[in-house]
Amino acid sequence: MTVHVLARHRRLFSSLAAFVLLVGAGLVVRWSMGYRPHFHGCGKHRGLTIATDVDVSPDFQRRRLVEDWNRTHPKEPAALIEVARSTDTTRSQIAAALDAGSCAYDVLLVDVAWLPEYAERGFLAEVRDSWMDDPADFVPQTMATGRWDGRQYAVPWFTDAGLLYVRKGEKAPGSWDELLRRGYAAQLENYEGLTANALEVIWNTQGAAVLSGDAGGVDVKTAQQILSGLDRLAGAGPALSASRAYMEDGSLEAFASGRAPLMRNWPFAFRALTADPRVGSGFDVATLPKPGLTVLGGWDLAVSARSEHRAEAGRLIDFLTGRDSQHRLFVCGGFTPTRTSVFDDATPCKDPKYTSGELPAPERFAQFATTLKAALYQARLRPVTPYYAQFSETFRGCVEQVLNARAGVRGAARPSPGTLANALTAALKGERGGC
Amino acid sequence: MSSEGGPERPNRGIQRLTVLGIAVTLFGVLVGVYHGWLLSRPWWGQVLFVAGSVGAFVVSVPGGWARVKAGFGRAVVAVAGVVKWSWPGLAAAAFAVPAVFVVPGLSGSGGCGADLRVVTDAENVASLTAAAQRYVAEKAEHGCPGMTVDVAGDAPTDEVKNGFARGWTSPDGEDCSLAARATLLGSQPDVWIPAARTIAEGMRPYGTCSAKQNPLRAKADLDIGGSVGSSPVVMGVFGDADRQDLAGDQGRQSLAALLHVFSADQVLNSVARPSPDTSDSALLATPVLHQALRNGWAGGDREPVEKILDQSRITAGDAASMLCAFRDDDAAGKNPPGDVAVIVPEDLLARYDHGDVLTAGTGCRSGPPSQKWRLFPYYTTDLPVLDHPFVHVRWPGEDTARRDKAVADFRKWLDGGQLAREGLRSVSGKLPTENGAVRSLRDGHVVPDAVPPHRLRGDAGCVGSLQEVKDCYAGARPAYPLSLLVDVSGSMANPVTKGGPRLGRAQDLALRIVGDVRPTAPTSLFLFSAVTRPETGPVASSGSEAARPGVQAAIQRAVTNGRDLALTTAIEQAAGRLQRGKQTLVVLTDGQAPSTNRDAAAQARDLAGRLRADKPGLRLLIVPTGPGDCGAEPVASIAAAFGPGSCIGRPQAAVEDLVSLVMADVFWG
Repeated sequence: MTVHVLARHRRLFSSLAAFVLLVGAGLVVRWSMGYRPHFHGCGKHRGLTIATDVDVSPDFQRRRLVEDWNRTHPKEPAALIEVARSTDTTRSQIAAALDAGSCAYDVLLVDVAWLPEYAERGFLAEVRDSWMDDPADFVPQTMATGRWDGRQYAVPWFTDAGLLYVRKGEKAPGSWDELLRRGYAAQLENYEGLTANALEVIWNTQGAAVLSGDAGGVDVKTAQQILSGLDRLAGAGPALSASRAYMEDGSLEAFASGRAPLMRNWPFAFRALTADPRVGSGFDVATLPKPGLTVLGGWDLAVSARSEHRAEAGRLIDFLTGRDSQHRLFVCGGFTPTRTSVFDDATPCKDPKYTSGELPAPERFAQFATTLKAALYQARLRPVTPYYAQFSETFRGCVEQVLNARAGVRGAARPSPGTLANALTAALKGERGGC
Repeated sequence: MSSEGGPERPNRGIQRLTVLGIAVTLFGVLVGVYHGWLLSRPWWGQVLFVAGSVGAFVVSVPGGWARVKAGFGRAVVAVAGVVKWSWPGLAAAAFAVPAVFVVPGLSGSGGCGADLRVVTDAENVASLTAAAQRYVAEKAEHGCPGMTVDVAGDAPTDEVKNGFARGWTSPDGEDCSLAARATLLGSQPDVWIPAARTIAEGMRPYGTCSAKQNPLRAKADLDIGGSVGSSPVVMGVFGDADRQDLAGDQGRQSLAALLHVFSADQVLNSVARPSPDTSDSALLATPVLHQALRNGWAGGDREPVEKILDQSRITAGDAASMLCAFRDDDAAGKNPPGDVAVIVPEDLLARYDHGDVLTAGTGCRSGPPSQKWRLFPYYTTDLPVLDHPFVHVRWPGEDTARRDKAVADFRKWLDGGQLAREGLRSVSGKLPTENGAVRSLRDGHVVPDAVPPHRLRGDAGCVGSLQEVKDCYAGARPAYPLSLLVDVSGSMANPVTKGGPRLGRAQDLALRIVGDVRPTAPTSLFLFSAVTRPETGPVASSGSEAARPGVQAAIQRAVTNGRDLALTTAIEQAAGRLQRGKQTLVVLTDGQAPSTNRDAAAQARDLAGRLRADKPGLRLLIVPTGPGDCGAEPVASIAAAFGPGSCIGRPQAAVEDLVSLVMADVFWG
């Protein structure tokens, strides 16, 4: 009977067999043509690894924290892998490794601007409650930097907000009009600092935090506001023209040398200036003039989704972001804490190797802590998008066009609101565009 | 003819032997061709070649062709039968099989959206960054957004070699285990484009750490491909020395002959090149320079020639840095050193004259130079031609098809002559039409249409490999002992204005200095503070290449640990541990404060006097890390006591530039 069935449906069974054989042969050929890796495995290792940029903090405080962890956790030693000073290079290393499925890194130091991209690409494990001691102690804005699509992917470690530094003998400007008229040392070289500084000018002169947080697109009205803010920047005093060649260290040098009596910079400058014999305590720190909006920077700690030591990595993050660790980073290392309680305890660094004068005086430091906390509560996120790198590059290109056009650079043209709106909207979606 | 196997047996035996001989010969040829050439061909080319080879074999065997024809006939009959009964299935397979090769999930993912990490010779960073930006923009336009290409400059060759051998970590004296801290040399490259193939071939990782022992320390796999563009190293002169009547036919003279005619006419008095410790173009040009200058200005050995080069008025870490310094001097209204010739790559000279970007970072002006600061290239037969090979680097834990495709795609794009727009010539040395910068040098000046790459030229025994080049260069510098005295007091924890703690800058300087001394030169490291006193001896020392990583590791491990130890006390204690003889003691410090260095001037005068008597060969060199410089007390008084040139203070200088000054002083000061 079976033979009879087979004979009757000879063509059907032959066709099926031929189809299966040919497709199977195709798959075999395709497999044989496939890539043969030279190395196998994801990079399994013993112990924990933390991928970061190079620690350039005073006295390498981050390294010392890891040493403390190793002393108290000999069965879960951690190794700090410092990639580079450049944040772009550090990002590139971490992204490439994780994209390739590497499990070499357990804990990642993540610039707040990269977090949406990393989370979107599946690089990060969701934070568990046990990885954060007393979550309510964190400054709310900083917790938001570790969140994407409603989920917490990172724990804030240290943060940044813009501050105004004023040489003694100078009066702090009472408004942005006055600040721009007098001019100040800023960071207007074509890198991320330009994005931060330009956004602050726009927000504060226009009284609106446009291009902040979830900025899905930019309409013409918003673009007009942005351009109005950039026009104010372009028309500012001579100190701002010089700032087009400055990053953080350039503006610091201009302020320390006396060329610029006013400076906008990050909190690290407080310690640097105190230790500079040309300055010492000869300056004051204030929040930016009202409304005092500033860009929220900072770095969070996350567990790699590829890590094979997630539980231990979580414990390490809990230790590093704990109150005691953050306090030490703040008073000894100049890092801005993300925990509110740390600001309220400005006990000086207890390290006996410092003489008086090598560290800020306790009263000055306490005053600085108060100012910094106030600035932090006025800090706003940059646009939160997985395509932040494209956005920042496009935005900076447009800013340069405005500045160059005002400076009379040949070929430069101030973009129209429509052009700017299109360029920024495309960039926020990861598409290429420009002014 | 044989009925019982007589004469036929020998015939069959001969036939079998013939077939065996042909098969073995063909197989051997195939294997050789396959590994040497065929592997680089596309897969269909390989199939055709193998099929053709097999066909040739079959035809060559006696009776083989007849058998093939008969077999072919039987196969045709069989296939006809299969088609008759299976044509519906075959028709369906005609659609399904191509899908296997096209559908992404089945065909394997492309390299779209990958983050590529590119490391290149430091002098090439600006060009490659510009090219990478164009590549990323093109990919985005063609439906592949989110791609990033990060370009960074590479470290000196010794560090790079160690890096490829040990997970791209900087030397830290560790074995295959991972210390509490490891510093990478930057992001691990997927693509490495060094200055020349000589450099690439000298980098074969020698490491003993396997991925199983420690994947974070394992060695890389290097696949050295072909060139992506070339650039001859040229002799550049300023306007006053631009004498084409002296040069004769461009590119037909040796460097020695060219220098001879220029110096005979008193047009040029000296030659400058970037530091070979950090500039690969300068390193590769050094054998020719030694040969040319020995025959011209210095005569005799290499050492006096190297002294002339090291003590040039123009010093810089690399050619880009040198040309950036020219732009700064031009902007400041200074006059160029018109009697000095500079040895730099043609593409950089062209970008300089064209006003293009020279470095990827900040701090270097752009814009064309004023007329008096223009540089004019002169070509020789023996200066090296940089051929920039493309090296595909694979790392344990990251070796995937997707990454492989991304690298291959970038390579294919570069192979289209994309670097011509950044000033490079073609692979064969021809000047492409798109190379506007070099073509613009033709404005009143001869620039050859072609400068073909050639083997490295110079003294015999100095050009056969990278190691030979480095040995000859190192051998031309004296092997005097060098001791480092590094301040680890509390103030060194504070930042310098360039960023980072002062100790960090001191460590960067110390690491470079140790890397630049001759491997056989005795090297010692002392640390000093109120807690760590030099009188107890050095924390590390070396007298060989093998022992050097130990000193480098000790430098990296240094931390601040106490209050100030007065500078004169520290110097005295360290000097007390040194032998007699010609040597240098380099002090790396932020200069401390007068309050912790009371009566420094008198103490320094007293100490200097005693040391001149006890150790007349000892030279002191203070290098402030910043923010203070040589004019700040107590450094100013101490330097004054030890004589002119006892302090080199450039707190704002890049580490490479400062170290080249320091080393020139260490070797010849």
